[in-house]
Amino acid sequence: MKEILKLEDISVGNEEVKILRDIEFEVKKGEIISVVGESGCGKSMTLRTIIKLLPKNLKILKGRVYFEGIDITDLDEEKMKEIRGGKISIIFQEPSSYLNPLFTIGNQIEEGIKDRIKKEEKKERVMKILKEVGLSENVYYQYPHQLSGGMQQRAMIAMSIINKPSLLLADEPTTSLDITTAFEILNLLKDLVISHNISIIFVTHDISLARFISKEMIVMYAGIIVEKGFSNLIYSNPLHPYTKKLIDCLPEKYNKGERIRTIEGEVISFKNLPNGCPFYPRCEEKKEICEGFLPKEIEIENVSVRCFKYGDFMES
Amino acid sequence: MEILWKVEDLFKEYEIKSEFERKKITVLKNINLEIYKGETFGLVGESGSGKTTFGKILIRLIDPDNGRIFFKDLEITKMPESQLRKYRKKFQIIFQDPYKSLNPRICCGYTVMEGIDGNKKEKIEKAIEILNDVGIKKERFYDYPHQFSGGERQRIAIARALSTNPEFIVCDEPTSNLDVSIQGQILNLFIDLKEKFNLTYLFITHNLKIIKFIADRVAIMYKGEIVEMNKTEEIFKNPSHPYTFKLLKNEI
Repeated sequence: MKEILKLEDISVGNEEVKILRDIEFEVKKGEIISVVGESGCGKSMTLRTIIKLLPKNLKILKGRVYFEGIDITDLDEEKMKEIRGGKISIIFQEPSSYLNPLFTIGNQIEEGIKDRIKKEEKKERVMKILKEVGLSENVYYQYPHQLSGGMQQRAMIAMSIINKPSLLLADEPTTSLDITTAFEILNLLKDLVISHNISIIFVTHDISLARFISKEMIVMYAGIIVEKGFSNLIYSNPLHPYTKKLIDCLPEKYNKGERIRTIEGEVISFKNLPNGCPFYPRCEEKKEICEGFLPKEIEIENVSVRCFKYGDFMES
Repeated sequence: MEILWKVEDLFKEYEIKSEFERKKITVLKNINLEIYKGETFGLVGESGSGKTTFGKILIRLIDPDNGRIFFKDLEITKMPESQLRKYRKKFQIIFQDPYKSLNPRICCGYTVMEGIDGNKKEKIEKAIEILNDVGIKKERFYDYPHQFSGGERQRIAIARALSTNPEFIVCDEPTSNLDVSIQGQILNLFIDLKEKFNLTYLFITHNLKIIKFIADRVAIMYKGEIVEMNKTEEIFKNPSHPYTFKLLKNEI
């Protein structure tokens, strides 16, 4: 399988703070990959790095982003605009805040078409796409407030695939939806992967959701990737103490009357990152070495993990 | 078991008026249920099924169009607000979004103090005690909502609900805006507080995993009607209504 996106040793930040450190992964064609972690662990920042929509005070310090074999790290804004919404598109958590209340859905989707085609052709294309995401043709003439949350998210998805992208970034697209609707949206995304041959990066804080939707997952903590590999393997046999804790938090793992074993302490702030493993202050299996050094990635049975539990490989 | 709440034939509809049309939407119909003292009663349904409206009608934040509500054998359906005030302290509500439900201009200690009787010194002492119960330290008494994280804010909202010594709390999706790890902490807190203060909960959520973990009995709501009501284990073992079946199948 060919890879469509490759991040190589990416670090993002400025002189004072480092938000992302040594991010390295690749997305294969026609595949979904999930990024899992708590709020503020850098998941959304990773997506923003890919499409280069970083906040003004942050920049890519080192590393390269390759998209379809081309290095897009230093691409200028003009060319980047072509890629955004074209070859790479993105959907967000709350669809209602990304739709313009003053325009019809059809109008808004049409607006995004980058090909120079006639108006009738545009309309035809929008109608076709609406059908594909499971909306009726009627929606073309409706305004956002007339749609439910699930339908709004479908409209957003329609908007994002109108230019036939090869990569879709989904930033917690189901968080504000209820279970039945979320389930439908997830299935829609899965279908799109097959029918449109799209790759998806799916960001979520729910590890069981990640297992449901994707074959591979990445677990992030405080800007580094702590574990990466096949979802089923990680879910059934987590290696890193943080992943273990994350799975321990799920209520379905407990019987009634029991207490959930939660992660003690707070998410570390980026301003005072320790020298060593960022999970060190909250870790239950910590050793002396964890405080001073950041462990290197180790491969164990198709899962790569960054923890000194599995050997003393230090970052030079 | 002692019955805390009894609801008979509850009915509620909203009228939608626009320039072109005027129509009525039925939000709740034929709701009959009892909530026992000391239990956690789960209410499940998709968005728009009327679960929040039910929670609000139960504690009379909204008036029903028809039906009767009893709180401990006392009918409160038509009770005037002046009389109801005495009982209001006994039932509280915790909302979904802790970013919207706390006043940004009142510090967390004072938010909790509002519900407490007594002179100022007593109020402050009691507020510190309650905040301690929910896991907020004394040093943060004068901090404002924006200085707290989402999980901490929900703790403050819980403290505020506890400040009037309630017997019953409506929890309206209290964890759906939180991370999975924080969600676990808040759920633990709910269980601890229930034991400590002998509370009864109406727990509204769309997340079946949480219901399975926390609720003693569950009602499944679909388009304003309760389609199934039973003990939690029974519902998960043999669902009888097609909608419940669908819900369970969609579990991720």
